[in-house]
Amino acid sequence: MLRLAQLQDALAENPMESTIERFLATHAAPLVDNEGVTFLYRDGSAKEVHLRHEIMGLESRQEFLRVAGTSLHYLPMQVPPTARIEYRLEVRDDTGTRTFVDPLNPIRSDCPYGEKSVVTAHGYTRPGFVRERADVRRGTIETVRMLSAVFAEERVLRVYLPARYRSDRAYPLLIVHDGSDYLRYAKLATVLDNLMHDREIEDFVVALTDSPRRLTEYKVDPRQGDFLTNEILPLLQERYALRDDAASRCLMGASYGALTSLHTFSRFPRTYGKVFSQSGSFIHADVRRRTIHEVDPERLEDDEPILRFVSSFSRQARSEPAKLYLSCGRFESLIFFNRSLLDVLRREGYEHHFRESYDGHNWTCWRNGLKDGFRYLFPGDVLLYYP
Amino acid sequence: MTGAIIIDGGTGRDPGPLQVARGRILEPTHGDRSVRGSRKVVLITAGWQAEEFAESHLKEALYRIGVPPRMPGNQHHNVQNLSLYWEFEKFCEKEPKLATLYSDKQDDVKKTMELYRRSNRMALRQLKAQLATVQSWFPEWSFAALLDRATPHRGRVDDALGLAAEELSLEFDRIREQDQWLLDRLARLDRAFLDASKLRENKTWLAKRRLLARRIKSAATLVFYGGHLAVLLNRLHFFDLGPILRESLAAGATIVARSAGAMALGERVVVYHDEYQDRHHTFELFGRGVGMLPGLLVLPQHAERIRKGSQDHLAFLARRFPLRACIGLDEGAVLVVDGGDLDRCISLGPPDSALRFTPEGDERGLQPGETVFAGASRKVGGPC
Repeated sequence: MLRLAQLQDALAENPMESTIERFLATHAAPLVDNEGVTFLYRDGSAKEVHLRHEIMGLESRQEFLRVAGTSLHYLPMQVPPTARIEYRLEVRDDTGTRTFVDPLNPIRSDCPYGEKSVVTAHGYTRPGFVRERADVRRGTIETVRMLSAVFAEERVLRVYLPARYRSDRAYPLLIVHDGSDYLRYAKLATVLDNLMHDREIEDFVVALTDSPRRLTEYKVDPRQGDFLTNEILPLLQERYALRDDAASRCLMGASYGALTSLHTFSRFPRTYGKVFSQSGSFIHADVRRRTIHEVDPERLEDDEPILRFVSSFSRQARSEPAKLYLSCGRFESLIFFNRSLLDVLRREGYEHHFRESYDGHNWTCWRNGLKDGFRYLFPGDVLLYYP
Repeated sequence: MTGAIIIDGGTGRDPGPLQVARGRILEPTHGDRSVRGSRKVVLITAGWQAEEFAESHLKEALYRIGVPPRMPGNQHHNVQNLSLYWEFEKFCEKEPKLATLYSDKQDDVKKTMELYRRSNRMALRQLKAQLATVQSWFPEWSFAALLDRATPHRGRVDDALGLAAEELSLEFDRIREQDQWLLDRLARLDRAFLDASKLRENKTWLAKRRLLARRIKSAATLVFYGGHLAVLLNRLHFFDLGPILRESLAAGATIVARSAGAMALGERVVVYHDEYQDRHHTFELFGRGVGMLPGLLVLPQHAERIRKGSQDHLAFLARRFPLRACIGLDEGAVLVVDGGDLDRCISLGPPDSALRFTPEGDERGLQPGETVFAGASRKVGGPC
């Protein structure tokens, strides 16, 4: 770790707090170089400092080292060059143990699971397609309220219409689970605007759905598929210029959203021909004992419906054409389940693509994967477009 | 009297092409005195599709350089949009049966192209695999050198290198045959459509074509913008505007073109994007163009779309399409094509803004005033 070595050299020469301060005034923390990342924490009263992260395969709680005679704690870590890591610090002192975001690192994740600090390795770049551009016309988002008979309550969905939308054309449809989170945390509307503008993807209509009880409704609950297919779809077909074939309809979601997408896709093979799955919670009997159920046996019973569905999906042959795009972060435990599903897709002849990234179970990872997935499922005219 | 075609290497909808051609716009070379006097400019923005008429900024730019919307004493518009996209839409509304027949034909075109693309992809994979194998044995031999070795000795080789070169050359020929196959099939589909639809006897079509011809022929300068290449090209072909454009050029009009507009004017239209995912090949033939740039293949936005640094890759590009010059264009590049048979091409942009891809696989920056080709010795059918 080149940068850490620089700090250590400086401290060897002059082991004073002022040396650390001078170094930190000119170096952002954590220290990032070609070899990896060094996490830093300054607290003279801390007895123990740990890094808390969710990188699969690494100890999720890693202890910092301390530079003797100073307040500086550090933890060097070798990471892949394109890695992005979300983390918190756990500190024990005389008053107890607390976890918090890294005070030396101003970069925070924007996600619904609680604030985390973020560090990216030297080869990571924020994709350009997530930035709002002045030259790009924006699509419009309409709000549709409806009374769901399936859920016996009002549901609100939002509908994204491409900037070039014309009611005398017919468009493919994408139905997104956790639509509000995709809009907020994955910048979905901006991504769609940019990719459609550049013709990287074709124009399509997006129905953004939400669930007030996603942990039950998205957990292979047949009501969710009924709601989409028997209530939302007819309403959308009536209001918007949509194509009327399975190959033009795609279901999308992350985590449980991906699980329910695959579940509905499997139940209604003549209605949906595509799935965009991000970090799908496809808990599979083949690998369950080696992963989360090994550490948390109580979840086994809880996950039984998922196990049953994924097992039945694995045995199910589908005659209708299908195209699936799956992605998962290599730092997630779900990577094993997703990889195991690939065998099924290959065996059953599904047209599919699987992408892994050095990231975790978070919205930034899913945001960064949008372009690849959309280009695979809704390829545009970029080859024919020369502005 | 023959006009000139000015190709602007820029992208987007800015008034760049008008600035590039400013001198000719203000002092037209058209043989018809009234057209020359009008300095009329016709804009072709059909590639912008539904936004075809989002060109008020171009009219303002023309006004600023000295071409007002109407000249004093002139009753007619002096800056006009050809309205090609609009006229096609109106035609389809008025002639729904013909529109359906045309749409069916276009579906057949798409299927034919998909077949071509699939066989092309396989042939390219095979070629690349064979090249990799041959180069693992003979690492000092480039793709270009292997093809050059094979061509004169085909059928008379007696060593492994010669045989390997011949095999590669045959594989390469197969790809070029597929390109020709596509052109033949597309021509057959067009003929079948015209026979079945009797499009060119249809009164609406004839009236629209006359209208478009009148607009084209009244222009001292025609400015083609880019956008959706297929949309622009299909509409030019649909109304059979190639002969009218050639006539207008022969009468001394200046044609200014950028991006997809310039590609559509070529003999063959080649589409490309090396970075586009899931494309296992990088260049594919899209069909015939309007045929006004004999022997010249222009490749706009090359910096963004064409992978550099591989001599073999570029040699493949330069040799695959039997044209006289393959020129990559980027911002600032300007090519002027003129002469009696449009047989002279000169680069006028800043140094290196246009690149020549040579059959050896080199990319060579063109210098201001450098002649790309000149003279009537064009030999279509050979490499660039």
